[in-house]
Amino acid sequence: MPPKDYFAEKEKCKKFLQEFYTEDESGKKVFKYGAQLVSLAHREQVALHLDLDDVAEEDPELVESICENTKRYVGLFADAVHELLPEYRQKEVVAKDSLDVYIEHRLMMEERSRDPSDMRDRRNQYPAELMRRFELYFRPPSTAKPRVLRDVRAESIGQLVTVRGIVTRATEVKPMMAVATYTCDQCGAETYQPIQSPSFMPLIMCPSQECVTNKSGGRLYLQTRGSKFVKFQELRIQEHSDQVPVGHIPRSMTIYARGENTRVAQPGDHVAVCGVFLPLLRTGFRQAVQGLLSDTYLEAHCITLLNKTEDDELGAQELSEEELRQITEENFYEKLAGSIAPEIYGHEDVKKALLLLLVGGVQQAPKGMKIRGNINICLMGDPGVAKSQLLCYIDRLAPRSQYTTGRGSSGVGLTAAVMRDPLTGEMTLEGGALVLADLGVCCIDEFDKMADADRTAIHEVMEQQTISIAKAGIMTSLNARCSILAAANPAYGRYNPRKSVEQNIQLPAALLSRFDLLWLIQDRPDPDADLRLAQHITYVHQHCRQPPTHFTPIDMKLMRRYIALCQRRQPVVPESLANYITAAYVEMRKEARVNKDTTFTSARTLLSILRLSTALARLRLVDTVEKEDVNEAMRLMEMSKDSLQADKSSSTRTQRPADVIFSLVRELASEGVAGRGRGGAGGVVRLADAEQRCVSRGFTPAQFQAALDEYEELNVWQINQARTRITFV
Amino acid sequence: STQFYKWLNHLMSLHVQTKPSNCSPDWETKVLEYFKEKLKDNEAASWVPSLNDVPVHYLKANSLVKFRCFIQDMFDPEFYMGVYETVDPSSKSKVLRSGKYKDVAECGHQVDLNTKNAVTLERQTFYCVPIPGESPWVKEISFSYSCSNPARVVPSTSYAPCRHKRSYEEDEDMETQPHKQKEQLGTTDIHGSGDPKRLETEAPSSLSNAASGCSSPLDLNFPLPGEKGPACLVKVYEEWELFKVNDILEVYGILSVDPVLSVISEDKDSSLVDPMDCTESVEEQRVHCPPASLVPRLHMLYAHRLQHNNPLLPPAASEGQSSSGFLNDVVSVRGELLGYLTHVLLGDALAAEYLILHLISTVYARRDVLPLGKFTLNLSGCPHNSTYTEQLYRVIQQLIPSSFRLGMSLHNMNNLRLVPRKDYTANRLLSGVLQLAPNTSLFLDETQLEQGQLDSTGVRNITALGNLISWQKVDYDFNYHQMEFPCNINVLIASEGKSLLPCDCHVRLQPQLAPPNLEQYISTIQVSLSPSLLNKFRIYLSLLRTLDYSISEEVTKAVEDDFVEMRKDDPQSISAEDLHRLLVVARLLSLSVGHTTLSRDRWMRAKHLETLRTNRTEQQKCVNGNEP
Repeated sequence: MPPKDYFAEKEKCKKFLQEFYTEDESGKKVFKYGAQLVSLAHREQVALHLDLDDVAEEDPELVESICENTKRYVGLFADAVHELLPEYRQKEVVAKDSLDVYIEHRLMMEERSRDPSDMRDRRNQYPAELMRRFELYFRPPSTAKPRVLRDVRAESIGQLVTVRGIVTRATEVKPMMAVATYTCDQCGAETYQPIQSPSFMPLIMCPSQECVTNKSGGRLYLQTRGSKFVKFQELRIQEHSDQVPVGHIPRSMTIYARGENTRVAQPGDHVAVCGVFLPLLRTGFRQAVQGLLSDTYLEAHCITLLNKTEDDELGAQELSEEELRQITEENFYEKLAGSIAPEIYGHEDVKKALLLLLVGGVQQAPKGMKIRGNINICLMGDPGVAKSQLLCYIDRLAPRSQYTTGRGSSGVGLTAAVMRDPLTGEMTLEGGALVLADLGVCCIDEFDKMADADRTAIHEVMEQQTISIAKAGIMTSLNARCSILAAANPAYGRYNPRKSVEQNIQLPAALLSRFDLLWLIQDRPDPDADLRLAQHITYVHQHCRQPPTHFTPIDMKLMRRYIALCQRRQPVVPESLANYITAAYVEMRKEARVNKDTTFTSARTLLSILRLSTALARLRLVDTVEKEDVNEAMRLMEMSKDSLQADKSSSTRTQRPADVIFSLVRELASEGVAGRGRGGAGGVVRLADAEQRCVSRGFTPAQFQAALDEYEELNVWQINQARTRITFV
Repeated sequence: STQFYKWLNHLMSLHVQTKPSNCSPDWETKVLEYFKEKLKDNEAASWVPSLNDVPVHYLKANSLVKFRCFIQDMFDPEFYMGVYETVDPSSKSKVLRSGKYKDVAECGHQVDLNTKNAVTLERQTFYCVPIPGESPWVKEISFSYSCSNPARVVPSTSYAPCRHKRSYEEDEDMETQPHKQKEQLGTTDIHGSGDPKRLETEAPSSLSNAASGCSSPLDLNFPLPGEKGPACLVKVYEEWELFKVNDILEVYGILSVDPVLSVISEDKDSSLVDPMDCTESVEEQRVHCPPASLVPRLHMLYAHRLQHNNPLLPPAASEGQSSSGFLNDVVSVRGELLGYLTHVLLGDALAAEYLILHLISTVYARRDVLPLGKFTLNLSGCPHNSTYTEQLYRVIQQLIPSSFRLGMSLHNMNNLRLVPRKDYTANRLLSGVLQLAPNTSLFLDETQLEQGQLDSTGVRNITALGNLISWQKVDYDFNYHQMEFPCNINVLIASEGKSLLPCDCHVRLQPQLAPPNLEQYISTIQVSLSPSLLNKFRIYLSLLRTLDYSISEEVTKAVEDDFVEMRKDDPQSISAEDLHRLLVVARLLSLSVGHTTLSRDRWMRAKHLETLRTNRTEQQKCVNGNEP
């Protein structure tokens, strides 16, 4: 390959800077860099960020060379800018600091000494670095994917790379000498020494013509005011934990940030850094000793702060058509729910509820009143029904979550504590688990083991989604917009069928009503279920993996991204459904009065239904709630209630679904009679109404159809030809 | 073999100094291939001196050594000049040299940094320590292997490096008679030797001794307190992705102890080294460039992951010829072992049975979060305030290649660092007690726990132990986040009542006899055990872990039906967790007699054992009344 003509390359750079433009809406040309050059010339801007995407539009080849040999091109572009700047100066520049004055002075000196007879010594010429007050950085092309730290190898040396990581260390910002200026004590001439490496050997003897010819032995003295310093900060970043292969230690990398890139990141920040990967030049003794080794660093060009959620959103954008299709295929709802803790067998409805908890309902804030969208769930159950495992799984699946156990946490640990800073003596607030889980999930295991006083501390969180603090002179309210997933054992360790439900749960109604769903997972013998359970376990032991199911569980990362995608939807309940939901609610209240319901049916129940149905709509990635969603939400409510009461029904005569459906339809018919007041014509029910009623009580349409046929055969009712009406005989 | 090692070393030095310009590019890979082939031969490998047995200052620099070690930490990659050019100051002739397998360029040459021919390459550094908790018998046997004919297995009683050192130094071809005499002198008075060659290799050690006298001693970062042995920086040139933290390896490599390496770390405040001249902080340099005499560098030529560190078994313990032969008398060995352990457990045969199952258990698969095959045993009813637990541990240590006893006293819980933590100032992973190699036995002695206050460290430590037992994972503390490291540690809890930690299986010890002097009783049992039988036990326990196991469809069906049947009678009697445990017990029970499939009989036997065990716990409940 012939050596590159860097002069020509520089001309290319110049041309780009001068001629690059974009068109705004009105079709006017906007010279992006030209405008910046003007403000650079007037000392109104320090950093010039060159977007490599723009360069790619003009000259894709140039971008390639820039990425391969970045350091050289920084120099070329800087030279180009330096040469262009005087053309862009439109008015007299006011000197901002002493260095500006120096530069001006030096320029004048140069002007004056433009005498062909008095050629200045080359070494006494002003180095370009000294006269420049701007900084030039590249912004990586959008096509360049951020790399994992461990993929930055020896081949990448000298190239422009983008990496991501967490800042583990940041030094203070220190001035770093860029050009050292010396004056001679004999002839007074100034000498300049550009400095590239972290250390340098100071010049001692004056190299000027005068001193050399006179052999006067002029000594040089370092002149601090005349030297140029840049801000310098050293960072250390470490790989994100998800980029580390299992069983490996995260890698780290040193980053040098200069000038405008300093003070951007602090330890603990997630950053994306684009920069040049360079070996560190060693000098002196160290070079001799460690001649074969070289330390490397990344010279930062562009440091962007990412926070973890943004990071996840980026992941969500990359959800390809293919992946979307994979998720949203038929019965994706079951599939998604089944992918939650696939190693735990059964509990489909619980898993569905947990899926909705992860997605969350829509939060409403009409006129300052806030109605939470987060769904709270309490899992109750006998020991050893994998409650903790479910919690653990959710904790791992949720992008942001906290896991605590009731026994180990006090009310203060959950909410917030006021601490006195040992150094300054100031009072500071330290968030507890609920605050840390803001916008996430807070899993509380062993909920029943918590002291009552501590448990009341989370009442506020569960409804208002804030934590108010009034202690030690601090009065504030912290956001705690988290969903609470609690797991508790029944009061006597195991569910006691001889005791009532209240006695078994032993949680105050104020708390219970704040949970949208309350599941009782009982360990009841059931030959079919037991066999399936046994098959599942033996399969795992036999083959060391999951039994083949009709679907493969969706990957955790994909789920996370899909859920993030769902959460961006804000579905609304259409006017047409309002009546339907109201009717259903009234129905539930009525029933609760009859049954002396233990799980207090209140206005909160209605809100729960709304939350669950909006979550369902979100899950389908649509913007309006449909009847199906409401039905499913009510079915879940019903099932959760069922799980609490199933024991009672089993003690009395078990009712076949068909019988229950029949009684429901009959009830509906008598209502219709009473409502319309049309005697005689009674006993006619619209089939769609009847189906709705039944579905909202947790029956499947198939069960409904079966019941219809059964009772028609018994000649209890008749169904018209079009199957739209049921007429009681 | 002597010849072989001599020749190998010669070749090595050749390789280190070769000029890549005058040979074909694949020369290097060919040589490496050849080495690997040769080293696979047990005979040849045993002639390579081991860092585990021989102190560093007795080894020749730049010679081939081996090291049985545990990867404690991984440092950032190192960029070095794979090929560099030197200029001879007198003749000005330029020579290309390989920078592989060495730390420092040859003396007497000027390294030309600005040449176009230089190639920057990358290598990875592992910080390796001897296997934590390795039992003394493993060290003894492997030591005796390396210095005697491998066919003979005699556990040597004394650890004498001088004897060993001579045995291989005799093989040095340039070794001369007068030199040897001095050598003998040298062993008695290390620093008094006037031999120039000796001095050269001794220099770093005496230097560092002087240095360590004035500065604080270097923390070698061993996972377990009170460990000894050399730590080593292993430089890996290829396929470093294959190795993981906490792996145990046998590394063959070139030893590098150039004193220059130590100078960097010691002359911190001298004007020679400017701290700004480096991206590393002072603390970091202390860790990453420790004195070569304390932490030698080892340039890896070849390494293999060890499945176990039992020297009595071939390293790759797949279905070898020797193991299949051994399987024939597995039943008799098991009988002997059961008898032995029954004696040790004061005549409790059931507990001994469970102890065997525990000792051969291993995590054989992991399904998402669920580790399969773990079998944590809680042996309750151990007498409080006696040395019984310690005696018991001694017995187990005699049988198992690596183990550690953690006294769960309040002081230990509140002060020990159990979970490894990343130290960002020094940029290293501070090790903790729970950073252990796979298949290490952790003996938790809960009888030492007394009433009192656990502070936050204590609570964290107990949680870490609980996590370890339930999920077989340790969450390493990386300050900004935690990282999950799966592990495979056999946990045995000895306690008075039921342990406060979760466990898979709880056995109440029911002593049948009460010897007046426990210590004496146990030591008599140990003495009466013949060394050959002891070795059989050791092989038995290590070998059975490596066996494969399967359940046939037919038995699976039977098991499923059995479960349903049991649930029908009394739903409280068996839960999903019980079935899990029962399957693990059945698996271990089958393996313990050398069966690799589950039979109906074994299943019934497992059920029987479990019933016996639960009955015992029930009884205890009745006696105590309040035990949960």
